[in-house]
Amino acid sequence: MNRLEARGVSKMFPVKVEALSDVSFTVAPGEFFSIVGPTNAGKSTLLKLIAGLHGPSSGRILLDGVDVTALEPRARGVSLLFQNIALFPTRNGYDNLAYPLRLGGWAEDDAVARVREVAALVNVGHLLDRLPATYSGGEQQRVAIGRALACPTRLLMLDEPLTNLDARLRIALRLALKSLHRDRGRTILYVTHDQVEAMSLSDMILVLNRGRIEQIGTPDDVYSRPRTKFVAEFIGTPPMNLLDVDVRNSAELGEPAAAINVAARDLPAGSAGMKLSVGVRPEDVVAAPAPSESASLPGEVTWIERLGSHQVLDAKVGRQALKVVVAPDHPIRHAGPAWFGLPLPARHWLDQDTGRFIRPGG
Amino acid sequence: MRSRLELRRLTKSFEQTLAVKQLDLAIMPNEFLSLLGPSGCGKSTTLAMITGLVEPDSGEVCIDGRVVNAVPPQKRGLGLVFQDYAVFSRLTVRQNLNFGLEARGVSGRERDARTAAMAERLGLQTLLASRGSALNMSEMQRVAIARVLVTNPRILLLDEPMSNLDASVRASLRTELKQIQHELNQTVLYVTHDQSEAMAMSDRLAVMDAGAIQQIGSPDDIYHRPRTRFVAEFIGDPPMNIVPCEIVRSGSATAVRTALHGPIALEELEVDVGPHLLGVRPHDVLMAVPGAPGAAMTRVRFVENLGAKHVLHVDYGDRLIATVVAPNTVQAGEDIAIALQPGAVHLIRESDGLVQRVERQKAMA
Repeated sequence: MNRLEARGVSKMFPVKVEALSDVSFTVAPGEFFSIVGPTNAGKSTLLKLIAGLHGPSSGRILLDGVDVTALEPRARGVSLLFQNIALFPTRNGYDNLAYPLRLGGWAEDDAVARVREVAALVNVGHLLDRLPATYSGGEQQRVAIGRALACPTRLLMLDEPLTNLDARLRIALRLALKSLHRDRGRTILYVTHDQVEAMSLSDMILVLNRGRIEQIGTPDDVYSRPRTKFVAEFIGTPPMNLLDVDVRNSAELGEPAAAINVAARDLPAGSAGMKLSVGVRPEDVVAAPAPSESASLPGEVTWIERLGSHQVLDAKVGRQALKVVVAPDHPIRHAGPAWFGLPLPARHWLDQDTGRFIRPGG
Repeated sequence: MRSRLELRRLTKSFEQTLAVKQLDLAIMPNEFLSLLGPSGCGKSTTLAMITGLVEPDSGEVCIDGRVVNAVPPQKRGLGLVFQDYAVFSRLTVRQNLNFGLEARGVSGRERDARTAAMAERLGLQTLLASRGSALNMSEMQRVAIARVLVTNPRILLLDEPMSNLDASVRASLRTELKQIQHELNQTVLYVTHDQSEAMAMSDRLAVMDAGAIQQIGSPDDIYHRPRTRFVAEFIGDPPMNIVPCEIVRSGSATAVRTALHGPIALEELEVDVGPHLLGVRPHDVLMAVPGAPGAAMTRVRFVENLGAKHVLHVDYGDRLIATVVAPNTVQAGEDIAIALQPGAVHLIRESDGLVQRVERQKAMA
């Protein structure tokens, strides 16, 4: 099972949370495809529909071109790892990992090799002889991830597999997942609320919000060319700055108060009459201790977060909040007056009424 | 409130396991200190001894100079907010705030005044009449904290308060939380396994592993001057690269050599000749001009796109190391030259994991 298609999938629930509305997408063979969104966006519902644990209210699921919407979960040949995992308590680590392989009729010699390989990847070699009752929470989760990875099915679905793990372990397992996917070329459908995970791992990302698709694209697409306000604010830490603008006919003059003044000639084509916000990523904002051509907006740094590899400046320009990411050796060392610039090429224009960005070609 | 918390030689074991070993820690009045470590490191046990829910085998818990080991939990004057903070969903925000005060016998006009003042400080005035069930995650978190702060705790203890929240909410809340602490001059002990949270909020961090504190210092200290391999690897995302290296002596000069780099001269550093480990942060592995002094060629195996930056995983002897570059500079499969940022490498002794930072060094072409 390799290629997955969802066509117009909707799911209604008595209460609205976790419902889905007209979701269509295609996962190509060998792709690492992530579904990312906040709690209750409908991510897990979508996985359950694909696995066959729920039936959709309308729409179809196709695997390798075959409509499986009416098939039982077992007949679909997909595997799903839930966030809350259950290991077999009376089987040791080895037998837990080997379980899906035995189920798939693997010869024991091949299974041994596969189990060792997966165990090394998720770093549970020392747990193979022990029963799950002796594992810590993190160890249980690693064995469960290992068992899912050992599954011979070609479409692997993972629902928040790294949630609840230590931050450090999460980073290590993220890399393990990435290299496994690179080496094996298996199709992986991955659900997470953590946009960093999705960005780092995926070939394609589907951003889901309130049961609807906000955008489907590569990590570069969703980061550099977000289509909606939701995507711009959900992808990236800190999120994209969105500032109200006042349009001036000449240059960018005057003290900014409620809005940033921008020149009419700098606006995107076709935006006349729209109520606009200008979006700029925190790392694209210019900040300086003194005014210059590239940093001409007067403002104030109110807080500095030092994070080792970089710093986040919390600032105000007029009444609007601005976050700026700068290098650790940036000349602004303390809170106080500062000057800011929003470079033209880094500006994204948001139509406030539709919540969508204005992009050339739609 | 500005109180001081001190832990002296605090020790606790459970059955065969020594959970906390002779732990010394002082949290200054008005300080935001994070106790940071992986699960199982003993940080929750330490917190439980501070609150009085677990009795230490030996050692003392002192608040403002007074030993409180024998003082029952509710009389220690501590405010605790934990992971599954319970905001009563059927009660209004006002009733939630009043609740803690009433439990402490504060009622009537004083109760109302304190609730109103705290609501104003935390920006909850407009929500006072809303029920808990109507709040979003960020508001709920603020109510949970306000409800504890309104009782004037001497020390605010936060036990992984954000771990159940979505990543996107967490990032904005941590700034908010730090600002609240700063404004109220509140002594805070924050317990977490998340190094980026701890780095962002703390005045100082105490990094804990295997029941003991590995290092205490400012975020800057811990990041740039880790004292042990554990601290070096635990702090930083992506984590520090660690590669084998060899200390060599040529004449009177000492130098370090790795699979790709060196010899890099080490000045004023006393180290034994022989194998060591070299730690270098991904941000300090720099792309260089091929052929430049200190530059070595390598192949990019894969690229992690993190939006604002890309992490390249490149060959380095028998392993991969990470380097951070601007977006869309390099593709997987390309050959590039890398150099190590002078002054940013850490020598790690293999036997005990102790780090010696190489403050001064120069590339020898």
